[in-house]
Amino acid sequence: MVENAVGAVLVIGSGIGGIQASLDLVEQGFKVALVEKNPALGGAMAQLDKTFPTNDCSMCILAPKMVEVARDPNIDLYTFCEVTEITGEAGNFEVSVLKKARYIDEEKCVACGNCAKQCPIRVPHEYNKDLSHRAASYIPFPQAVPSTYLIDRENCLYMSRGICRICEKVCNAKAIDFEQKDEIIKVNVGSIIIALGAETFDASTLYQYRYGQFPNIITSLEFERILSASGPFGGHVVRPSDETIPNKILWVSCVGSRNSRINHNYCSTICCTYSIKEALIAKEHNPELECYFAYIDIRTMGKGFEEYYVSAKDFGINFINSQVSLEENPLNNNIIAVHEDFATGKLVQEEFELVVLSVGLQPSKSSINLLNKFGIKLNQYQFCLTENFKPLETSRAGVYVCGTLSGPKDIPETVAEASGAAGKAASLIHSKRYDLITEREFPSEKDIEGQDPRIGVFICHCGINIGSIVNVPEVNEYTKTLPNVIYVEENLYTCSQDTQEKIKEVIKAHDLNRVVVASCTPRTHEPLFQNTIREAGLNPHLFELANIREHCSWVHMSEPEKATEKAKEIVAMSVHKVSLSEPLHEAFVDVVRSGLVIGGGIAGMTAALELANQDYSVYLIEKGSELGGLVRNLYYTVEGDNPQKYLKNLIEKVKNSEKITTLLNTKIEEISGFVGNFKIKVNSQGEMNDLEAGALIVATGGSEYKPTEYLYGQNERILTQHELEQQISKNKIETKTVVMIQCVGSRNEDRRYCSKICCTSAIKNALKLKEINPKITIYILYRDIRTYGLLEDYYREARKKGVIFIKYEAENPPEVIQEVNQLAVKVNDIAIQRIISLKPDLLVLSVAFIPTENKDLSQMLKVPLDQNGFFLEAHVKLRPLDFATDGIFLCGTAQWPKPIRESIAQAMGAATRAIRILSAKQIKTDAVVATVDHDLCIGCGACELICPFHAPRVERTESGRKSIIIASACKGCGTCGASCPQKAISMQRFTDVQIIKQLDTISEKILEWEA
Amino acid sequence: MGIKIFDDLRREVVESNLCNLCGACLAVCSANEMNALCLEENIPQYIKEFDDVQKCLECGLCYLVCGQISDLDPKIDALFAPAPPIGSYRLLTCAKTTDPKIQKRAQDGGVVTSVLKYLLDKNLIDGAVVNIPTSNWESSPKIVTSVEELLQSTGTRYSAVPAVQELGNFQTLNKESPRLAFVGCPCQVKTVRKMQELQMRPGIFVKYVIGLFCMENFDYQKLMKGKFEKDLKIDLNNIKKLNIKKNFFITLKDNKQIEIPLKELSDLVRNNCHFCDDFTNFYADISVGGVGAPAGYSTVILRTQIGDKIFYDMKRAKEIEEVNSPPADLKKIRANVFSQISRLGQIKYDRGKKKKLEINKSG
Repeated sequence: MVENAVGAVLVIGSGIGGIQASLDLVEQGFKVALVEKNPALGGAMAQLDKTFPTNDCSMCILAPKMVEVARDPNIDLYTFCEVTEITGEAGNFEVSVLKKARYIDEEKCVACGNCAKQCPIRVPHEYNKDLSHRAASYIPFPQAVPSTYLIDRENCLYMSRGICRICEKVCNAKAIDFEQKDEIIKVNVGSIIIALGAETFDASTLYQYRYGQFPNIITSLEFERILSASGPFGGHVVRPSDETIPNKILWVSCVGSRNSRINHNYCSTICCTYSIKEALIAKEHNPELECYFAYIDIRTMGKGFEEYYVSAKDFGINFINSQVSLEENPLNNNIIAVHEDFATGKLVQEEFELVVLSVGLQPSKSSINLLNKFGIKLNQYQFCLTENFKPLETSRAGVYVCGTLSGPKDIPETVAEASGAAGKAASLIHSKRYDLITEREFPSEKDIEGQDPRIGVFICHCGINIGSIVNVPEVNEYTKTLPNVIYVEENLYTCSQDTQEKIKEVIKAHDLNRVVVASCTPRTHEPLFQNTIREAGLNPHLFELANIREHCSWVHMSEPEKATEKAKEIVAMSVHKVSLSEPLHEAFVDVVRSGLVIGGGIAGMTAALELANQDYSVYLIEKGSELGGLVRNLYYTVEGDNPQKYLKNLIEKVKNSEKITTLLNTKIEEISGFVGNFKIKVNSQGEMNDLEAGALIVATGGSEYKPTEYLYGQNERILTQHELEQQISKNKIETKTVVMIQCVGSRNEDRRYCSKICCTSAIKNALKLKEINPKITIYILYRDIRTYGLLEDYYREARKKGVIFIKYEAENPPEVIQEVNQLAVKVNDIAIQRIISLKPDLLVLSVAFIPTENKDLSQMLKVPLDQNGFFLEAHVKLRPLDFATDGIFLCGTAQWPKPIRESIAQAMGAATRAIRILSAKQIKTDAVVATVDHDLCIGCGACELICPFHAPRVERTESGRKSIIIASACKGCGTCGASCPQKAISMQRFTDVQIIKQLDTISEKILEWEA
Repeated sequence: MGIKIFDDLRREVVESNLCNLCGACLAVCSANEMNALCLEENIPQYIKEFDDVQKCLECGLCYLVCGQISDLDPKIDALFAPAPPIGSYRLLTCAKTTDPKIQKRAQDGGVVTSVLKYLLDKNLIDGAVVNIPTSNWESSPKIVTSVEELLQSTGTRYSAVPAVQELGNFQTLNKESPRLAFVGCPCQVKTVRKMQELQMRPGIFVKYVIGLFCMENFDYQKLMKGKFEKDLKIDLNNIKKLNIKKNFFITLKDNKQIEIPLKELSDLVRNNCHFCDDFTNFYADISVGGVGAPAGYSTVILRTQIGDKIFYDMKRAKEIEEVNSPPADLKKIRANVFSQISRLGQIKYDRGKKKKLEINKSG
C-alpha cells in the first residue's frame, strides 16, 4: 500500500463496463471520476435494440443504471472529456482530463430541444449509424445522460462561418455559450480502471463484402438501429435503398473476425448469437420474413444461447453453412449471394432484399493510442494484454481493465469483469475507504403531525414540450379549485436550478407541508424534487409527481383538449393522493462484517482471498477434504500456463491468510437471516457450528459428465478429456491415432446446452499430443468448433499442425464399434458426404460439463436453479453475479461452464459485490416498504410464497404466527400487499386508502367510460 | 464584419430588382414559425404588420443561400465545375419516356415526369417539388407524393414561381428525414446546392435534382395577362401549349399556332434573368430541355453519379429510351444537340457576364 494513497478511482469509458465499475466503487466507499469521450454515457449497449437471449430492451435495462450514475453525488461525471496524461504511481495517480467545450452550459440546459428544433443544420446522426439526421445542436439520444444538449463545432454555422446563432436566440434557458473553451482538469486518484470497450469492424475495408458499394448491404449495428423504435425508421424494418419492407434477409457471419489475412484471427464471440437475435426480432416485426444466416461455425456457447439457437431453427430461421460472395441486382437493388450448398457441394445463387454483415469487434484506434501513451501493453491483436490468471490487471501497476478492451466478450462477462476490476481497484486503496465520500446534509425535518394538508402545486411548461399541447393556464386555474391546494405556480422549466430555489422559498412563505410537481417522469425527476423539498425541511415522501408530459402532451399530441383534460385529472389524483401521504423514513441495519464462501475451488478461493485482501474475515466452506476443486484435474492450459502451480500458490495463500477460516469436509445444514445478517449452521464431520456472515458467495462448481455413450467404461482405450490430460501429464500416452468426439452429452435431448469449454479442451490436448509426437494422427469429430475469442488462434494452430477436423451432424452421430483388439469409429463427414471409417488406438470423448448437485443448497439459500441445474442469477445480462435475494452472490462454474480465466474474473466480481455490503456503514433500507398489521395477519404465508426477494417471513410471535417484513430485503414492489387475503399488508406511499382516493377522483369518468 | 441579414438582402437583391423569385430566403428563414418573412406580390419582405426587424432573428441564412449572392459560389463551383457554355457532364443524349400516358401530355420527351414517376414508384423519394398549373396558365409549386398528383404537373408554363419556398414545407411529409426530388430552373437549383453545401435543411433532404433548361423566364402578369390576353386578345383558356424554340410558340386548342419573336417579349422578361449565365442548369444531377432534340424527345445531360445511376437504371428498366438510331446516327444527333445547346449556352453566358460587368461598373 502506498503511503499517500487516494481514496478515489478513475474509470475511463462509460459503457456498461465503466458504469458497473463506477457504481460498485461508490458503493464500496470510493469516490469515482468517470471519464467518457462521447457527450453521453452508455457506450455500445445504448445503440442496441434488444439483448440476447432474453430479448430484453437494451435501453430499458441500461437507462436506469445511467440515471443511477448521474444521481450519485460521489461520481464525478466527465462526459465529452478525454484523459490526456497519467503520472504518478499505483495508489496515487495525477490525471489530466481534457474537457471539450459543449458550447451549452450543462447547468443551465434543461434539454427542452428548442435549439435543435430551430438549428438549420442537418448532418448524419452517429447514434443511428448515419441513417438519420441530427442538428448541429443536439442530444446524442433521447435518454442521454447527462440530459443536456451540445453544439457540434464542426458543423455549427456560427463556428464555421460566423453566421446564424439562432440557438442562442431561441434558448429560453439562456444556456448557449459560444465563449466556452476546452479546458484541462486535474484529477487525483488512487487507481484506474480502463473500460474503453471495442468498436465494430469497418466492413468497407474488405472489398469482398461490398459494404458501402450497395445500399442494401448494411452492418449488424445499422440493422440494430433499424430494429429500434428510437431508430431512423421508428422501428419499421425497412431497407435503406428505398425504405421498403424486405421479405428476405441474409446475415453473413464473421465479417472482420476469424480472418488471419487482416490479423483478425480471433473470433468476436458475440456475432453468432446477436445475428440469431436480430433475425428473430426482425421476424417478430414481419412474420412473412425469410431469414437466412450464412456461418462458418455457430458459436452459441453462453448461458441459454444453444437453446436460443435451437428455438431460432424451430422458428424458421435458415442456417447456411457457407461463405458467400455478394453482388447487386441493379434492377431492384436486391443482393445476389452465391453460396455453397453443403449437402451437394454445388454453388447456389440466391437473391436477397437485404444483407446484414455481422461485423466483429476490434479495439478502436483511439483506445490503442491511449494505451500506448499510458505505457500499457497490448496483445497481438492490439487488445489490452492480460494474463490468464490475472484477467483484470494491465501491465501497469494500479491500472485495471474490464470489458471488450481486453478481448471480445458479451455483456454479462463485461459486467462481471467490471465488478472484479472495481474490487481490484478498491483493494489497492482500501485503507482510504470513505475518505473522499461526501454525504448530503439536510436541515432537520419539520413536524407536520396533526396539521391539515397545505399543498403547493408546480406546473411545468417544459419549454414547449407540455405547454404547446396542454393548456397549462387552464390546468392552473383548475388546480386552484382542488381541496387543500394553497398555492399554484406555472414554470417554464420546473426542473431548472433557479426553480428549485423558488420552490424552497414558496414552501417557507406559504408554510406548505406537501408538494405536487406536474411535469415529466418520476424515473428521472422525482429524486430532484424530493431533494428540493427535503432541503426545505419537508420529508421527501410528502411529494407526488404528476406526469403530464409523457402521459398527456406526448401521447395525445394531436388532441390538445383531451390532453388538457387528462392533465387536470392526473394533477387532481396526485393532489388527493399526496394529501394522505405521511412522512416515511429509512431504517438502518447493522452489518456482520464477514463473508462466507461456499465451495473451495479456484472461484471460491479467489473470492475468499479478495475479501481477505480488503481485511474482511471469511469462512471458506468446502465439502471435500481438500481445496482446489476441478482445477486439480488440469495440468496445462491451451495458452501454456501451469494451473497446478497456480493452484498450489493459491491454496498456500488461503492457508496463510489470517482472515480466512477454511472448513473442510463441511456441509451446510441451515441458512437463515437476510442481507447483512445471515446465520449459517454448518456440519464438519459431525461437529456443528453456527456462523454469521453479512454476505454469501456461492461457488460450488461442477464436474465432468460421466458418459454412457460410445462404449465409455467398456474399453480402457476410451477416455474423457480430463482422463487424457491426466495420462499425458504422467507421460503414459503412447499412441499413433487418436479420435476425439465432441459434444458427448451436450447439445442433445438430455442436456440441451453447450458446455462451452470442451472444444478448447480437445484442441488443447490435441496440440499437446502433437507437441509430444508430431507424427501422431488426430481426428476431431465435431458439430461446430467453438473456440471463441482469442482461443481461435489455437484452433488455427491445430489445423496448421495437421489435426484433422471432421464435421458431423447431430442427427447422424459417429458410431463406435468394438472390434477384436481394435476400436473402429464410423462417421459421416458432411463436407464430403461420405462415411469414413477410422481405427484409433485411443478414443477421447469431449464430455459435457455438469453442475454440482445444488438442489438442497438452493432451497436453503432460497435462490433458484436454471433448467440445467446451474444456479440462476438475478439477470443474465446485467446481474450475472447476483441473486434476486440481496446479499447472496454467485461465481465460477456453479453459474455456467467456463474456463479458469472467466471463473477468476467472476470470483473477483462476486467478492466486490459482497464487499459493497460488508463495507457499508449500515444497510439502509428503502423507506417505501411493505408493513404488516399484525391484528389482521393470520400467518397464512401467501406473502412469503409470492415475494421474489424473500422479504416477508412468517415467524412465531407472542400473538401467533405472523408475517414479518425484512425491510432491508423489501424492494417496495407491492406484490405481497396485493396477494394478502386479509388486507393486512400495506404498501407505504401506495396505501389502499391513497389508491382508492385516486380512483375516486376519476370515478365519474370511469363510470362514463363503462357506460 | 457583422452578419449580413435580410435587410442587406432586401437592399442588395430585392430592391435592386434582382430577385429570382425562387423563395429560398423563405424556405430557410429560421424565424419561419414566427412569421418573419412573406412573399407578397411576388416580393420577399418582412411581414407587413411588423415591418421592422423584431421578428427576424438576424441569422443571415437567407442572405447566404440567395442565388444572387455569390459568397458560396466558389464552394459549389468546386464540386460541379460549371464550365461554360454547358457545364460539366458525363453524357449528353436525347431520350423519351416509354409511358404513353406521359408522352401524351409531355412538353417534349416527357423525361422529367418519367424520372419523377420512377423515383416515386420505386419509393426512392417521399415527395417531389414540381409546378402544378392552377388556372389560366398560372401555376404554383407543390410537393407531390403520388404519381396521380405528379401527372398534373406535365408541360411547361413560362412564368417564375417560388419553387424553393415550397421545399421549405417538407414538414408536411411528417418525416424527420424526408427524401425529396427537386425540379427547377438554374437559379433555383443553385440555391438548393448552396443549402446542401451548408448541410442545411431543407436543401439537405433533396436527393435528386432535375434541372430544366432556361433561357429566361417571364413575369406571369406581364406575359399572360398583359401581352397575351390584353394585347393579343388570346383567350387563355383556349391555349393548348406554350413552347420556346427560337421563338415563342402558342398552340391553341384547335392546333392553330401563333409565333411571337422573342425580341418582342424582351421587356416582359424578369430582370434577374438578364444576369443569369446558366442555360443548361450546371448544378443539376440531370438537366433536361427541348433544345436540339428530335421531335418527341428531350435533350438530357447527365452530370453526376446520381444522375447517371437513375438514367441507366431507368433505361434498363425500359422506363425511358434513347433515340432509336444506328450508333453512327446517334453520334450525329448528339453532336447536333451539342452544337445547338452550346450556342444558346454561350449566348446566355455572354449576356449574363456582360450585364454583371455593367452593374459592377455602375456600382
